[in-house]
Amino acid sequence: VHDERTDPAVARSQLDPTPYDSDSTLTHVDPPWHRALRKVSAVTALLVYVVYLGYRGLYTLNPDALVFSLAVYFAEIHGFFSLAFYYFQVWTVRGRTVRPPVSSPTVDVFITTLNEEIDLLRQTVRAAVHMRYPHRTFVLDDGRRASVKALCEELGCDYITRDTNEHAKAGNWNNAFATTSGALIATFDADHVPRADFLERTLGFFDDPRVALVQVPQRYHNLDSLQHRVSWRMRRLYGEQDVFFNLVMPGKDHWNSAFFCGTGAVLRREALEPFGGQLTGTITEDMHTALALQAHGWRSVYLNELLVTGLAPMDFSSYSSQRLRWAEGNLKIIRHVNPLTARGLTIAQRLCYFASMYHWTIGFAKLVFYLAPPLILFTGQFPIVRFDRQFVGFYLAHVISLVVSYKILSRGTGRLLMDELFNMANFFTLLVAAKRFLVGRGEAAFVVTSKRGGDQSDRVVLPQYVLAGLTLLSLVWSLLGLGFGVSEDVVGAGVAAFWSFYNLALMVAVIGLALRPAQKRQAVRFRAAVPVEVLGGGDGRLGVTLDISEGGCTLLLPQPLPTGTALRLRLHFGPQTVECAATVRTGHGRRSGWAASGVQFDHADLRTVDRLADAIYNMAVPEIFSHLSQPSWAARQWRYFAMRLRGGLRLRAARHESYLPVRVTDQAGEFFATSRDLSASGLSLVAPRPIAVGSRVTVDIIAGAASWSSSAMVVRCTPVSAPRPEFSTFQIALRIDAPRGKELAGMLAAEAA
Amino acid sequence: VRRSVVWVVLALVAGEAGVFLWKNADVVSLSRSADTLAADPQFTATAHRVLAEPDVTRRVLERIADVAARRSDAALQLQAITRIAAAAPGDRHVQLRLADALRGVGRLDDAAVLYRALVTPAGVPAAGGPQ
Repeated sequence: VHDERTDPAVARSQLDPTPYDSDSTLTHVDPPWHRALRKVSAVTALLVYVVYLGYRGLYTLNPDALVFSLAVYFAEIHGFFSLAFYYFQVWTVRGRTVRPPVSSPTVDVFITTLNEEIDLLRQTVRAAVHMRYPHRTFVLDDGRRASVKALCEELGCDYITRDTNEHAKAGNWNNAFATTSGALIATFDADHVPRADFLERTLGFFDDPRVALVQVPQRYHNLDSLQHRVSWRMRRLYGEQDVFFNLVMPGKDHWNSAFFCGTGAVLRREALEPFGGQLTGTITEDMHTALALQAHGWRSVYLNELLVTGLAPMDFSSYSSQRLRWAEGNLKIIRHVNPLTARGLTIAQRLCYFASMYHWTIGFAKLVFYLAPPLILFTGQFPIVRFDRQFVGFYLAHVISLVVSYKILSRGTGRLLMDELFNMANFFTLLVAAKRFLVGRGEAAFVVTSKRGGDQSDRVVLPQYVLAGLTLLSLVWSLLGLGFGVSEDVVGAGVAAFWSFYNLALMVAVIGLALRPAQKRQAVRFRAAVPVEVLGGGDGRLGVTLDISEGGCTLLLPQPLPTGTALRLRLHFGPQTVECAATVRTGHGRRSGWAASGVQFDHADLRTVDRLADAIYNMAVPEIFSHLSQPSWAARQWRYFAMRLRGGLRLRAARHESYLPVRVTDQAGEFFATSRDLSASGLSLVAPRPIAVGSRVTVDIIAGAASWSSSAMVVRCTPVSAPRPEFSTFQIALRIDAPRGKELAGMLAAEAA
Repeated sequence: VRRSVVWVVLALVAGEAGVFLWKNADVVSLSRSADTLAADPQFTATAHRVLAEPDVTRRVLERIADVAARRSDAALQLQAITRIAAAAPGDRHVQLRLADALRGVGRLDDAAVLYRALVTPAGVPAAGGPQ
């Protein structure tokens, strides 16, 4: 393997000998008055919570049901500490400015693997090899597979294996650590595909000699995973870990306590030398190692940029096993290093690390809240002594302040209902983890999380089934009691019933998640509108993809194609085109004048697969995340209102999001593109090359069975950069010649229909 | 699976209903119509068993008092209304019914005390003793 580090043209000497403080890159993501508002709302909510808890403890405990009453009360106290820790961590959310590395540290890239599929690993290794900063890539294979070794030889990277799998992933990593010498080590899981600029964006922080670790967020590109909810219409994406990676980690970064999350990070060898690599003995070696590093005075940096994407668990079973490992590992770290008493940590760091461990104890509190309504309905006993106006007043003040402050501090990321849904999904897993921590099972086994899905089992949601059954029976019991006059507390039963229905809805939703149809596709499908020329078998028609993967796509064409039709397709990924043979596998009916077909690519060689993967990871993935980053409805309305107030709102024709294949002809020739939006006055599209503003072009828009052409003028041309420059594109806005505007409006109406 | 879940839920609900009926058989039997209960020879025994329980709802007590009145069982009626009055000490209407029930069983002195308390304005001590 050619070692680029020895290349004198690449290696650079110290250009900037002045000391560099990585804290100088910290920025505030909020304007000052936002920060003040958030702090006031956090303090207010916590004060109201304290007053509420005081009132509850002094006046509302029910001596007739003391155990039940105390259980609910302690669950509420647990909630107070959860909230306090959360608000402490997001007290000041910080961003980072990136500066290019001044020194030229040598970099090794570690990709750990055990049993992941070779096609999955292939794209990760290729992406790692293609990272621009000079580096060596090592695949650390605990599976001892000849196919992985062959892959490494093919892709020009190093292969490291060992005889045993001692200490699982951390042991694998440490084995490579002992045999390599790079000053910095970038580490990725087998399914985490880094962008080409990953190292360029992260290495600059290491110019500060005190920085031991730079972590970037873990984003997942399989948006149909269990932990994602996507609204394409609202352009909003919810990920269960969004709060952690968008708020908590940037907040921890403020307190210098951002920790290593196992993948998508760069570590300094010098810092790890005393430990011989990562610490072992826990199944969450990442946080354990970060804690030890910070106790030794090292700094950490969190860079909240989309630089690597991976795969999230697809099914409930994999999801639960992953959460169990995280919860058990995080709790058990306390046996090795107690953040509250460990030497070398600041008070803020102690609190941040303890908060991360405390988070995993929420299972007990949630169980109490899930069992409380059935207990009330079965026994008629309440956790409070009386349900009167005074209690309602205190309770409403507490809940309203909590919800409002949570929304304000969560900056549009946190969604209470979704958080509650995943609390319901996780509560039993967390109880198991807490039991293992308390009862003291020996060293837990590290289990690789499956990302393929396919395990559709309702056994994993047995606790939710039992709770749902119990809740349902308690509701029936209460109805019978009220109906026959055994009980007459309609208000109390009504409140408990309302609480029950809320919990029941969460239980049913979680059971629904577990029973989702199993994932059958080999590769993840990405939503992408790629213009496609059908060269053979389709009469030269122009279509567009609805989604695409390395293995196939859903293709929209004006006319349906019979199943089994062999095609030759040319896909236009911006300036890059990929040609491949394909076969129509399924027909999905017609949509807005388009015939949708499930098409499988018949790859003759891996080169085409690689080119498709490159196009997907460099064009489709960034566009998807950019598309789904729309602010919340309330934030948009506020922005719109503020712009109107300032008079900055420019009136323009209503725009319709629309992805249609477009043939554009100008003086330099023709190219294919897809529109992004259409209006009666024009359209915008993504083009493979720039066109001068003011120049005239001819556009042919294909809209299902109809097509429409007009001349137009370029009014804007903005470059859209991609991680790899060969995939960079241009967003072009065109103004259609006025006489044809009405026709376009008519087509828009048809398209909208 | 769905069909099994539906059957399991139905079976559980049916079982629960059975347990409920078994546990609250007396109260459930008192939910029949007043005419039916008035003609039921088991009514008095059932009512006494229910009244022996510490927690009885007002609806059930009212039913017992009502049916006892139909059956001219003044003692049982008084027992039921006494329980109602104990649960609602501020309810003047119930106190009046209690006074009537006391009069019905011949406890005129107790009834008079209650009548007098009911017609005395608040804040003025009611005169005591039979007069």
